[in-house]
Amino acid sequence: MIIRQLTFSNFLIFKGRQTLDLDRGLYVIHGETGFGKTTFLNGISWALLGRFNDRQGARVPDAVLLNQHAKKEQETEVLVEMVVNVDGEESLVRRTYDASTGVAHLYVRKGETTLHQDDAERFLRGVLDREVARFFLFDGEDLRRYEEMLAEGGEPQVREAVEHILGLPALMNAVTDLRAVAQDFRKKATSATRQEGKAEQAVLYSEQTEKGLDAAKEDLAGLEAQHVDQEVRRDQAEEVLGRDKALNQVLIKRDSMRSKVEELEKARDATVDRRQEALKGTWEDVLAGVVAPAQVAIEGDLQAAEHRERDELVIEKLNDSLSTGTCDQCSQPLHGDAADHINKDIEELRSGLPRPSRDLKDLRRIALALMGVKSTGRLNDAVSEDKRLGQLDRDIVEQKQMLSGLTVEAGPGTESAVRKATEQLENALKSLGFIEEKIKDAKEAVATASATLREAQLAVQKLSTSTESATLNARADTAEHLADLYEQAIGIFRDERRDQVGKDASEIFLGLTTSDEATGLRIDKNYGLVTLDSTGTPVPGRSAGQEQIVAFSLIGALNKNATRTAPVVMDTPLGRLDRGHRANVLKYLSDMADQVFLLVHSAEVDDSDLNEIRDQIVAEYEMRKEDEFYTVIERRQIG
Amino acid sequence: MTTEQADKGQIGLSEEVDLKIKEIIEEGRFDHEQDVYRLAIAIALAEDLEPAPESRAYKTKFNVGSLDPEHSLRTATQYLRIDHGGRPQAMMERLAEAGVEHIHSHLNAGKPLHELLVKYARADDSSTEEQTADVDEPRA
Repeated sequence: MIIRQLTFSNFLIFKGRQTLDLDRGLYVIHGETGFGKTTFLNGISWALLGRFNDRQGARVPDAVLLNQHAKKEQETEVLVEMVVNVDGEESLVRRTYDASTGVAHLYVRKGETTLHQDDAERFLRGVLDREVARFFLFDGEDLRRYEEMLAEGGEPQVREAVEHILGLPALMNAVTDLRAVAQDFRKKATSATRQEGKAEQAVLYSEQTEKGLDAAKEDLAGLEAQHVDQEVRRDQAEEVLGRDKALNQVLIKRDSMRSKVEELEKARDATVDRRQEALKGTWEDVLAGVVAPAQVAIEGDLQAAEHRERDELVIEKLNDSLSTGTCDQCSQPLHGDAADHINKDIEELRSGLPRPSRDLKDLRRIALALMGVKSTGRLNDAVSEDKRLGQLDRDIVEQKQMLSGLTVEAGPGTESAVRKATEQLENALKSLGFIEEKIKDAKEAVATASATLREAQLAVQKLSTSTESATLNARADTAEHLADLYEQAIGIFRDERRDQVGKDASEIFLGLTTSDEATGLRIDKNYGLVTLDSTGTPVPGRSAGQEQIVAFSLIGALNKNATRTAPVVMDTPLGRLDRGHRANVLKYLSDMADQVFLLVHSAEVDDSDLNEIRDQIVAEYEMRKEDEFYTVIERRQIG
Repeated sequence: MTTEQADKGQIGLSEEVDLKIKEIIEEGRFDHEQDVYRLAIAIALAEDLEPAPESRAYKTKFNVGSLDPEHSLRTATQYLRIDHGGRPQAMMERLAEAGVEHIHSHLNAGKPLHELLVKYARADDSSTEEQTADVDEPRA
């Protein structure tokens, strides 16, 4: 496949409609970090595969694809469109997403025929399968990961993907078909023997076994259908969870804020209780404040009244002395001017008598009652609790406003949708595991039933004497023999292809590496590649740069041996390489595939690097950033 | 010949002010109406509020014995409001009426309760001395 034209419209950072006319060969696209190199790669992935992942491996939801400026300008459509040439035929591939409806759509016009949505997806899978795509559309960071994945005991799906590129599954289908043909002949032969009226028991057993096999196959097909259903459910759930990833963050924030509000409200309730408790005794403190001066006044009055009482008693005694003419102290008769002195004392005492507001008894009663009015200190508690409560109320209002903002941001129903999708994903994964176990058992049951049937059919064959039955069995034998031969041939072919991939990878590697010690690569059954030294001994351990060179070699070899080729789009693949390796890789790129897009930043590749391969470059493009949400892709004029 | 009217044993609030004390309770600051009522009398005494007219139709709410078991409010009223006319408990009712209106009006203006209370705080500030200086004689 060759991309002849590529158009982005409001796809993430690519605002408006931007079109690149392309052909075979090497394209270099320059862009600094954050300018849109990865977006370029992701746009192609999205158009061809309907999805792409972020660097953490999480699927990026369609809902976030619309350019921010376009969104503000009320535009709703995201589009990536390609004119592709597949096996000499031009097709138009257009994938869109409407942000207002949340609907994604794929349009494919193959030649003059517009394909239905399902056929369109099938067409694209044929052009570039999702598992295969990782060897064509990749990020520099992925390079080392591929080599790790392909190491001994690596992921089986990667091995399958490699074999898919090499065209092995299509060959395996032929074996399956031949075995089905053989089985059909055997059935017919058994049926012919029944018509002969011979070997009734054996025919009956064979037919029952056939039914058993059919049932086992049906079970297997049912389980495989269930597996597909669960995969769909898993994908749907992942889509929802992916779309709501950003919203999930909002929900986490909202939940944390909700807990904070709850805590504040609890603190508020406790403060309300403490304030109520404090307010019960507040009146006593207020009253104590009011009464305090009165207590002082009463105390003064009381002292005055007691003073008066004492003085009045003295006056009374002096009056008694005057009336009796006898001193009240010594009981001697009063002499001379003593009476005058006593009269003077009485006069002085009378003039100095204090005048309390109430009588002594009354004052004592009041003093006693006022003594009961005491400060409890709860007024201060009430004041501080009330202040604290005011602050808490303000905090709660503020937090609730923020919470309300976050709730609006999260949108209605998000939480339940996320919860439902999480549940669906868990169930789907659980079911998939369970179904896979059952599929394994069902496959064993099919194999056992097939073997039993084969024995029953052989028994029938021995007892049959008809020519028709013999002919049918002979045909079945031929078909089976062919299938066996084919299987052996595929095995040999697989080994040859693998060896070829190994040889090609080794050759590419030797062209790329700057090491004098390495003499090549050796491929293992999992398509893992080990570096060999001059003695042909595997070299343990490789640097990150070397791992990248090995990964480049494998990708190059796979592209060389692929039954169907696709453009190679590489985002920042040279970052870990030293100058020597970088120069070698750059020289090799135009041979790597029919069409190669190299996305680089200025620190990764400079003009002097590119000058070495200028004649191999069809065109260079420059990503120019207008603002945070707007990058323009412009053709760079050279020389 | 005039006969002295006996003092009240049950005191309360007018219909209108009763609604106000209920509003105060509903706002959740105080647990019981008694807490507001006692505070209202204390504040009325502290603020020297004009007692509500005796002629108002007061609805009985509390027994004075339960409201003021230690007679603190009664004694303070008796001493500080010598215009009680021999009926300090009736005076407490009139002061409570004025005090509840005072508290309600403060809160109704959106002012925090602590602003009303803080001036009676005695702990370690000078407010007590200032109050003492202000109130050195019984009020008529």
